[in-house]
Amino acid sequence: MRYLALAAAFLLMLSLPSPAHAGVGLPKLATVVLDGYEVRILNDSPDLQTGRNTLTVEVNGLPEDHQVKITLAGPAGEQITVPLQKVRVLAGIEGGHGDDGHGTGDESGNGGHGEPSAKKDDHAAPSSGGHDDGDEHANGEASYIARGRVVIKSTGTWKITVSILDDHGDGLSNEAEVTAVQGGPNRIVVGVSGFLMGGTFLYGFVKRRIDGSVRR
Amino acid sequence: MSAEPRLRIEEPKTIDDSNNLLDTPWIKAFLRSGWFPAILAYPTLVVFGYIVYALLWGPLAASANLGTGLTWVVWWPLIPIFMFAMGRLWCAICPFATVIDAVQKFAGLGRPVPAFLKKYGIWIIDAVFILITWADHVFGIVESPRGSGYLLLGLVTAVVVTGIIIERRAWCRFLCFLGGLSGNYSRSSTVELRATPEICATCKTQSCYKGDGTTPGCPVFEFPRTMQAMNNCNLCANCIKTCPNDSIQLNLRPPTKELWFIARPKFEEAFLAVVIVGIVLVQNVTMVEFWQPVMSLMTQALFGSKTLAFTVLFLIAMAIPIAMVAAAARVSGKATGEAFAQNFARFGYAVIPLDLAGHIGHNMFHLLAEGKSIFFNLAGLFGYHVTGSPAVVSPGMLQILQFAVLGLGIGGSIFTAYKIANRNRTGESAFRAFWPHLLVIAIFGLLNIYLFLQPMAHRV
Repeated sequence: MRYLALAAAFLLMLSLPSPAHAGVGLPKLATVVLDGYEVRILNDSPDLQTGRNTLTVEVNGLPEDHQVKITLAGPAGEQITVPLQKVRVLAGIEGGHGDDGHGTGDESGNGGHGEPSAKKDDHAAPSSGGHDDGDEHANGEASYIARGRVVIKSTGTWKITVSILDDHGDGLSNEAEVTAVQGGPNRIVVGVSGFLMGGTFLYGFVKRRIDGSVRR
Repeated sequence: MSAEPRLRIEEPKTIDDSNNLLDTPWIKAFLRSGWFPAILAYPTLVVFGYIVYALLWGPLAASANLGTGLTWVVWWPLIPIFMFAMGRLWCAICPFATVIDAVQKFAGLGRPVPAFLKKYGIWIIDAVFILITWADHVFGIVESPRGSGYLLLGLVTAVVVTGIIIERRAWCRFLCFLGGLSGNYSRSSTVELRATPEICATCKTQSCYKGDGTTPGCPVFEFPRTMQAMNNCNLCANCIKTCPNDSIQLNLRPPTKELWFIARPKFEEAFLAVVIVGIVLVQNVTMVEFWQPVMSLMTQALFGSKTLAFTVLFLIAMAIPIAMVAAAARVSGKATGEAFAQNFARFGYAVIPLDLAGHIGHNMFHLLAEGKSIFFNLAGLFGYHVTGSPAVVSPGMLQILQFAVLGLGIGGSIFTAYKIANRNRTGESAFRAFWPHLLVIAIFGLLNIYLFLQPMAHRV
């Protein structure tokens, strides 16, 4: 019984620092309304993270000859233009959940299959809905989907400037603010794991040489 | 009512070596060469390293994280199929095993396996398996790349620590929860490794267990000469390499055959098999419509704590299959004069084919309805942005495949229970032992069919 309790405690210890970002689909970073168009900016993490971020931009009903341009302005004066490339939407078998940019999500921190908003598929119909509850957008409807990768180096408030440019390069801009947080894993968890592995390895390495023989 | 049980003691089965894969020269040469299993194990280790990196340092959205996709959409669904086809071969190329071998080379202390691990190993596996399933639902391990990353990191830490301290691959045999699962599934597999008794009777070296100086002995403490089950054998081929007498056979066999003739059934192994029924039940039941109202009611009743409510419902869901098999064992044992624990232990193994089918069927959805997401993410890594439906097959085809697998599992479980009942009884006595378990398997089967008809949640 003692060992079962130890196993449980060990697992719980591992699980405690784990933030539950349950749900599927890409989280929405910001929505900017511009000239009647709703520009949705999705990220591959719920916030901007230090390190690499892949931003996805979706706009419904954008004419073919229009383009979206996004620039990020960081708290330390950084200016980054997101190198957006149009996403190729492949024809595929129906019944999946469309592409990875939509679907219901859940940020309650209590996830898993048991959450009400976990995306469900009835094996037949493409699902809809955004990462935020109540958002009914679907990539299948978005006429413009583009994606670009940026590297964020500092945490804090970043300003996103969105421009929609017509075929002459003219257009309007609007802004939104997002917060960038520290990316990567919990350093304590990684540190403890590294310490345990490194420490045991060192102990074994030294002990083996002191003892001079190893039981095989 | 309590008729005298008619016992029919069976002679030990002779080994059917008519389908010995080692009779094929290139298979034998490959398994005996130093390339095996290294040629598979090291690339697996590299992929595993990338997965851990992606999970810990990559995107937090599961759908954008290649590590999540590779782990939960590809590896986890494929692993039971792999186990069914090739036993615990995965364990031979598992990155944990490779890590253990590597650290032992430089820092292994080679301490003997503690007695408590030998005694309680499977119970620890049972407990960890249940806890991981629980933690997955409460903390969202599968859907959270970081959660998955911490889980893998924790496991690697445990693997390194135990690998350095304890000899051979004690982790794989006594502690790995996946090892426990694969041990059970491998009993249904289509391959078996056996030694030839007549040859082994004259053997003086026992190098299959001890090693021959070049190749180590069995990493999971098996002695092929007396081995009658595939639940521990990793198919690492060390014994094939070290045996000086060519005694080892690698035979193809009918699926589930091993379950029909288990010489020494263990209660804890049977318990694990029944626990897996509960785990599959939990995985499916949390995705159906009525789950949310029940959760809401329970949450209200339990001080508004969702975690507490889930834990209570989880325990109930886990307890139902255990209680049902226990009830069947009670009725079956009473009718035949067999002790409860012995009956539970013998017939508990019968649900393994259903476990396997439930596991494969459930995860087939993730593999075939979400599989293409891997290619989208992989393309994204190289700067090619594509998207689309992640489904690999149509929903209709998917359901046909799921129900075909489930049907085979139900049939396999019923047939296994029938064979177990008939192992040392005949006629009416065998039927009295059989029918309570038949009923329980039928209920499990129907429950699975119902749950498979319900909408399911995607992982990525």
